[in-house]
Amino acid sequence: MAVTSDRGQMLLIGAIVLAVLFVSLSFVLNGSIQTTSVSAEASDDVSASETHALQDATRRDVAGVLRSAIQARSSVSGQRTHVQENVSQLGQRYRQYYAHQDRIVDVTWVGATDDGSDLTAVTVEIVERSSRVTYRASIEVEPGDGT
Amino acid sequence: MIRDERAATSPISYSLTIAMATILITGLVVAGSGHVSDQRSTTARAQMDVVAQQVAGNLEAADRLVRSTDSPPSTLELERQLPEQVLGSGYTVEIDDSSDRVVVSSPISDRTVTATFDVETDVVGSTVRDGRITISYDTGDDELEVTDG
Repeated sequence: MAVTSDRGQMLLIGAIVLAVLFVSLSFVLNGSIQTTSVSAEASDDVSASETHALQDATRRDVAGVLRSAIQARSSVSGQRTHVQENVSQLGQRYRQYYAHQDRIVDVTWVGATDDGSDLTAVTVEIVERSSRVTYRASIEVEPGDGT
Repeated sequence: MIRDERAATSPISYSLTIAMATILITGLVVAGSGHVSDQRSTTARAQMDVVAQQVAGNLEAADRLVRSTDSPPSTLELERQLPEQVLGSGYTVEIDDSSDRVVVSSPISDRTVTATFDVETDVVGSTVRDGRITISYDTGDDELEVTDG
């Protein structure tokens, strides 16, 4: 008793056709998805509004520290130490505040100029790092800034 | 003798089925590859457009940061991580200072993509490659320059 079993060719051919169809589709769709994702990530980091805010806030806060140091009427070296310590604390606060916004911010003391009796200007460096952009600037702050 | 011939095909119809399937698959591959090729060109141009817009946007951002106060920063650097490749191919970014345009070109596309920027600070013309770029402000010359790295 011979049993001929030839079933399956149609299933096999159908499977091959479907496989090729899906592979072709995956190529086409892959390109589209990549375009969309690259476009989406482009818009988030050309804005400088946060950096503007940081630069303005730093200028205002450092100017306040400088004014308070001058008003204390201590010696130039005393004023320098006062500003240096407060800039360091400011940097720490900025770092904590901006850490919540996925940004690393450093505000550090660079130097100061004086006229013999008082400090006239303080230079600080601001560094702001986000996932794709790093902003680095040195700004010179005078006592009258931000008033 | 029991013959189980359900869903079985004769040699001729089997050959015909194979031939039709081959034609169908060939047609699909030819049509699909053309479509994929078009899609790749479109994707490459779209990505190059994104890069051009990013560079132009960052140039404008640097310009705004320089001009935002009466006393501009003593030094300013804006480092930007651009995509390393566009669809597996490198690219170049040219800053055309005469027409205030960013021109992106790549071997993968026969066409260049441009984006215009609107800045008040002077911009130095330069050409940089894919990857990390730096936009720096020169206080002395009051100029913005785009460099590699």
